[in-house]
Amino acid sequence: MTTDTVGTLMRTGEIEWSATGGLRFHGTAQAVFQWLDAAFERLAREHGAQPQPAPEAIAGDTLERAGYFEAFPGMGIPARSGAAMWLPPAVCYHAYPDLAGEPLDATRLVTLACGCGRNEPVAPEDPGRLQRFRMREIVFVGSPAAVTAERDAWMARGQAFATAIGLVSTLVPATDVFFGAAGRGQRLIQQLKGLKYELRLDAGPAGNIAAASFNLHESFFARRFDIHLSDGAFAASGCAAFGIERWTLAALAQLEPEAAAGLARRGES
Amino acid sequence: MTAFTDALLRFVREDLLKGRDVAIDPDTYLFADGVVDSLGILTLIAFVEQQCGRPIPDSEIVMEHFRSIRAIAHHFQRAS
Repeated sequence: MTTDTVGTLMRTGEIEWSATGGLRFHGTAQAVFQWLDAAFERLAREHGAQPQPAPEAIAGDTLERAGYFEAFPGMGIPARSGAAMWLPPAVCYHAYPDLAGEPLDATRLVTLACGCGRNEPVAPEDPGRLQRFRMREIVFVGSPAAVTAERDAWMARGQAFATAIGLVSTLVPATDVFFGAAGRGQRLIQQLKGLKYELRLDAGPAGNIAAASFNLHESFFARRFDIHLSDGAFAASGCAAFGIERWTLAALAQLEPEAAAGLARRGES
Repeated sequence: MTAFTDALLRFVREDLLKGRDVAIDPDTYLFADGVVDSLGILTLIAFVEQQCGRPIPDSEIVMEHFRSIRAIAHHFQRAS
């Protein structure tokens, strides 16, 4: 599209900032959001991922164990003042504690979604960077080879899904460190091993944004949460993550109004 | 084995692994668990820069050039 649909919707109030640094959608935008949210859940279930509940708050102990506070100091948002609960910075942190204990004899796939929170700097002119957002993830745990194959399959599925609904996307290696200690060393290891890829979409005033990421954690989380394979080795893990607000902005920015309205009608039904 | 390959092998065995019981030869994959970690990669890059006498930009740090000691020697000997 040549017109700035997202900018127009922000001016008319169909998309608005919430007081907590998230976006509120109304009308067609809300229906597109709902359709995308449901579509990613469907995609996950169709490919064998077991749905798992994901509360809107997570224990500080779990994030501590995952190394989150060390890797991303200052990025956590408390869920309630005085309580040891936090907004999940990513929904996959809910998955690892439940995978501990029983040795895995096959690759395990779970899918979760919830509202997440990160203390990101936000600017009114950039609706792509949010402090509150909804994320759907598919988490896979198993042998390194099986997890890599699953991650690669999800990269292809993510891009095929974008194409199927008419979005132009690019799949690129990511440069931001997403687990473990931040720094040049970790970033270069991530680059060398191809641990993280992003699916980027044009989203009007939000620019070209990473709307999905496809990640390999190697044994990082398995070591912290004691997740083992049946031969006693630590499992590998990986995930595919979809940011629903970012997909919504991209759909509204890239699609012709009638195509966006088509998604919206499917979201309302 | 070239002098560069030999120096790299000695460096990885003595400085990176520091006597840990990991068998290393010129074709060993360097990024398996327990060989080169995020600190080790920085030390390794510094050593290669010193050996080839030029800084190595991040864009050149790709698996094709760093998979093994032989791959490092092949690329950086030729490119320096």
